[in-house]
Amino acid sequence: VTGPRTPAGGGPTAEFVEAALSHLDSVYRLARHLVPAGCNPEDLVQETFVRALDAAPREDVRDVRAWLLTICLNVVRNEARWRSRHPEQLVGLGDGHEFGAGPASRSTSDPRLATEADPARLAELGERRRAVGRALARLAAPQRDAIVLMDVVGCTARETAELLGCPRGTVLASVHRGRRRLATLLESEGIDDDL
Amino acid sequence: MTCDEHRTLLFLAGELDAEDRASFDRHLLECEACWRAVTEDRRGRTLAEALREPAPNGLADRIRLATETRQVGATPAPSTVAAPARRRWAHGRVAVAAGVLLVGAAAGAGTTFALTARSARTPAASAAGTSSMAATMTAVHLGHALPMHIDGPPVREPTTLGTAVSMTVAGVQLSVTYYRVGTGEALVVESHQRFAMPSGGTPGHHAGAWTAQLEGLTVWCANGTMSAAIVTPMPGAAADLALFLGMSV
Repeated sequence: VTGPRTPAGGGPTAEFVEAALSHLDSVYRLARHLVPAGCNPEDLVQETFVRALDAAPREDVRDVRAWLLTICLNVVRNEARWRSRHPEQLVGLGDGHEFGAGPASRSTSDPRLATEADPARLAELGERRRAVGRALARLAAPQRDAIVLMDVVGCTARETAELLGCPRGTVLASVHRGRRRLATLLESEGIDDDL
Repeated sequence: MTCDEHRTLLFLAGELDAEDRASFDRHLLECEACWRAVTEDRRGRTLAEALREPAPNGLADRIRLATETRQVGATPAPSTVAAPARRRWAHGRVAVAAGVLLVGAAAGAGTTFALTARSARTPAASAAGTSSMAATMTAVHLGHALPMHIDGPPVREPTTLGTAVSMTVAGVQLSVTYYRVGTGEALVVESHQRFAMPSGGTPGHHAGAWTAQLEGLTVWCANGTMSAAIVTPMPGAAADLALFLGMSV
């Protein structure tokens, strides 16, 4: 898929924007779980799409999702690098983001979660997500990256290997060790996989 | 069979051939270590999969708008372009647009309104040397028309619907709140940056304040430490809401 410009000479066509937005959930999940502490994942997602759609007309994009995820990984890493170099500018930004602390209205207003309408169950799910998010943040970066891409975003091992620039066998080993560590960490909190 | 993580990985990836798989299955029954590796892997995967949340409501609209804003700002006349400042997240243009998908959780009637505020360059703002952070709403366009009237009795006083939506558009932080006012509705857009008056606008009684009619919508704006703009299809609603909020226009 290439992203032709609109006749007016502006950015990509509306069709291309919508095609890219069909992968919004994937990009959001990546940003949300690899985002540097204190940074709003929605800003990173917006930055990802703006960069991607700016570049779209010049690129020959075969796999839109993989292309967006690559850009998002770069955005996330640049942000982490920027933050490590400019810690003094981060004081009081007030855009801190906690795991599971998204807009309060989200879970109840999202039609995709309509089947989870029971408030008690929603609260339980939210608590579980926060616990898993905290445990995930404690993993070594290669394990966390592999788990986020394979289990949260839903990439195959091959796609993950290409995105992370490492051999597929390494990804399989990282994701396996990461999952085991995640299970162990959460077991000590009394959280299991019984949903 | 000896314990071998490589084989466990192939088993978990479903890549052992039938014979090796049968052999590994038998091994699992007698090897505590490999059994544990497999069960923990599956438990860990299920736990991680709980994090598959959808993107928040409104994020797609925010991105559509950000893309649109960049296109509008992509070809400004040279004289009006501020030097590109090195700012994070700032696609700093003189103009900014507010766009938001608001989910009005009205009692008994969940309604979705998409409001798109389109932006355009504002020569007045840049000529006056307004900083590149100046947020200017110059034209407002409703993606899905806000109804002029809502069924049901008028509300006695302005009532918020849902919670304020925070967003960053072209590097400018905005907070948007949806109100029911009388029999109509309005949006209040707040920012720490000033909203420059569009051409055709009328200065208000108070310093920095202005009113304007943009694409059939009434916009009342008060600028200060915190700036706020009321946007509504009903002129009366703007006055009522400004009074209610204590906004000096």
